[in-house]
This record gives sequence, structure tokens and C-alpha cells, in this order.
Amino acid sequence: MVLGETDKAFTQMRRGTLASCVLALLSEGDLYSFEITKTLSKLEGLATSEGTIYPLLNRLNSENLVKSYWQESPDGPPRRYYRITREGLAVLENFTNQWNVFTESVNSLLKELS
Amino acid sequence: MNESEVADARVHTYLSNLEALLRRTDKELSREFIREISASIAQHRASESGDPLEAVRTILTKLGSENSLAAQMIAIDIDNRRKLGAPMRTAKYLRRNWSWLLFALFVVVTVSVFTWAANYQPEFSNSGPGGVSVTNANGAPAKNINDHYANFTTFFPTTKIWKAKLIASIGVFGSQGIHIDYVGLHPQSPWLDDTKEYGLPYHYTYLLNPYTGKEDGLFNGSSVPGNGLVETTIHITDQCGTSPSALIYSNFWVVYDFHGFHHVVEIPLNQQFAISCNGY
Repeated sequence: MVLGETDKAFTQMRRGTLASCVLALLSEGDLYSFEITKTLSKLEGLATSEGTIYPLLNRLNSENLVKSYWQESPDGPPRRYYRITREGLAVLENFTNQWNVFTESVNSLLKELS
Repeated sequence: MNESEVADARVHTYLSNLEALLRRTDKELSREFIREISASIAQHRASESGDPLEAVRTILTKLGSENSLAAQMIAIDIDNRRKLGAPMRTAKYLRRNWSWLLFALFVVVTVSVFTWAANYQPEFSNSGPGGVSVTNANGAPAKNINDHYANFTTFFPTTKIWKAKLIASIGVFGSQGIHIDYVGLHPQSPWLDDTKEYGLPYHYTYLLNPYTGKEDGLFNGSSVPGNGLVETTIHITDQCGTSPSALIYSNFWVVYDFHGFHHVVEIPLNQQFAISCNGY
């Protein structure tokens, strides 16, 4: 594995975990798409473009992991809000369990090597 | 065109391109998505206080090309279709196109009803005795020869003008009622006013009361229920010399209306007759 491939692997991993990160954000409360993008863009390592987030939200919506609804905004156009569903919460819980095991294993291995 | 207008035009083009690329995807999916992208662009522009053109350029760069966005949405649409079984797909299609399907059903039903109404023809019969009487101009009965075997009568009027009268009992055998517009010895349109004497032959029809056997006034049309009966008397006044020497009457004519469609039928007379002018 060369240096560039490490970046690729991280990109792939970020993409794979992005959906779960969105579900995690929504588990705290309903958010509209612009807010989700803004929040994710502030998190180091998770920064992603609108061009990825909007289709992703629509996919989660199609998979019934989130539900969307429109709400009038006091300053600007109506906003499309997303709410996590029961299925979404179950998927998030499953991901969290697996992620914890995975990161603990990777972290302990990296600690041993260092 | 100022910068704000240029920015608006750029956004409009972007959204139009996206809409065109998503025209084959699920309508609700693409509509919601485009609405969301449009709202997002507006929100981004509102949050940027600087150059409007630059703000649009930034958000469009972040969104990526229309092709790239559309490709992701098309992939979602394909996955959704795969997940739906055939019955669900059909149900969804019906839900989305119900107005067209309803219109198509309306057209089919309307055409069927019109075709049926245009072709509806009950069975007709002349069920009455069909007695024919012919008189001379002075009211005296014309001599006649009756062929009982052929049920055919030949009348010999002795005056130039003669008058004939016969009973036509029209039985309508069918499930639907009709409106009889005209009954007569000639296939004449009922819309011609044949109740006024403009010349000979002059013919008119009376409604016959089946209980009293009396004429109830000129027949101006009558509604007849399915399997109903209407009795009429047909009168004709003609003169020898304007017609061939022997006029043979073997049918009478009925024009009826069924849901706006006019039909003409020819019904055999119970007693066929001829007028011979040889004796005149």
C-alpha cells in the first residue's frame, strides 16, 4: 500500500460511515438539510460536500431510515426537515455497537505498535 | 443584466438541467429533490452577504455537476424500483396516473355507451289487426278484392282522390324504452311537417287509444317503455293519375330516437294492400 492508497481508504471509510453519522445527528433531533451539511462540514475528517449529502439524505429517506417534511421558514424558503425513524434508530444502534468494537480493536493494535 | 440577475439565471439553468436529467425518475422523488436543492441554494445565498454571483458559484461547486447529482438520484430510483415487487409497482403506477386512467376509463365507457346507443334496435312487430279501409273522395268505401291466402287486398277507388286508413300497433320488444318520433306509410323524416296539407299525397298519423278504440289526436311522438306497445292509425290521401296505376303498400315506417340517435325501421303490414286506379 502506497501513501495515496491510505487516503483512498479513508475516503471510502468516510463514505461508508457518513450515513451513520447523519443518523447520529438526527437522533438528537430533527434537522433540515442545510443544517446537517453545515454541522458535518465543521467536523474534522467528516467534511463533505452538499453534492454528497443531499443524495444521501434522499437515499436514507427511500430506505425508510429517516422521514422528511417541509416547514415554512421565517427567513427564507421552506426547509426540508428530516426525522430519524424507528428503523433508523435500530440501524444506528447496530452501527454504534460494531463501530465501538472495531475502533477499540484498531486503537489497541495501533497502541501496541507504537 | 446585473450580477444578481446573472446569478439567478445560472441557478435557473442548473435546476432546469437537473430536472431534465431526472425526467425519467420517480416524479415525487425528483420533485422533492429539486425543491430541496433549490431551497438549499437560496439558503446558501441568503447566508452569504458578499457578491451574489460568487455565492452561487460556491454553492454550485459544492453541489457538483448536474450530471453527478442526477446520477446519484437515478441510482436511488433504480434501487427503489428493484425493491418494489410487481404488484407494488403497478399500485404505484396506478396511484401516479390515476387521473389519466380515470380519463381513459371515461372515454372507453362513453364510447361504449355511444356505440351501444347508436346500434340499439329493439324488435318491432305490428301486432294489431291491421285493418285497412280505403274510401272514395265522397267517403264511400272503395270496392276491393281480398286474397285471403296471401292476406292481400286490392282496392278500386272510383274517384280521382282516395283515402286509406289502417291501424298500426307497434310492439317494442327490448329491454330499453325508446321514443317513437314518426309512424307513416312513407319513410319520411319526422322533422318535415307532414301534418299540413301542401299537396297530395297527404298523410298523417293519429294516436289510437287501445281501450276506447278512438283516435287521441295527431301522433307527435310517444315514449314507449321496453316491451311496450303504441297503437296508431295511419291516414293517407292520394290521387289517381299522379302515381302509377297500382300502388302497393306492404310496410310502414317507424323512426325512433334512443339517447339522441335516430333509427329508421321498416315494419311489415299485417294486411298488405294495393290501390288500383284502373276503375277510375
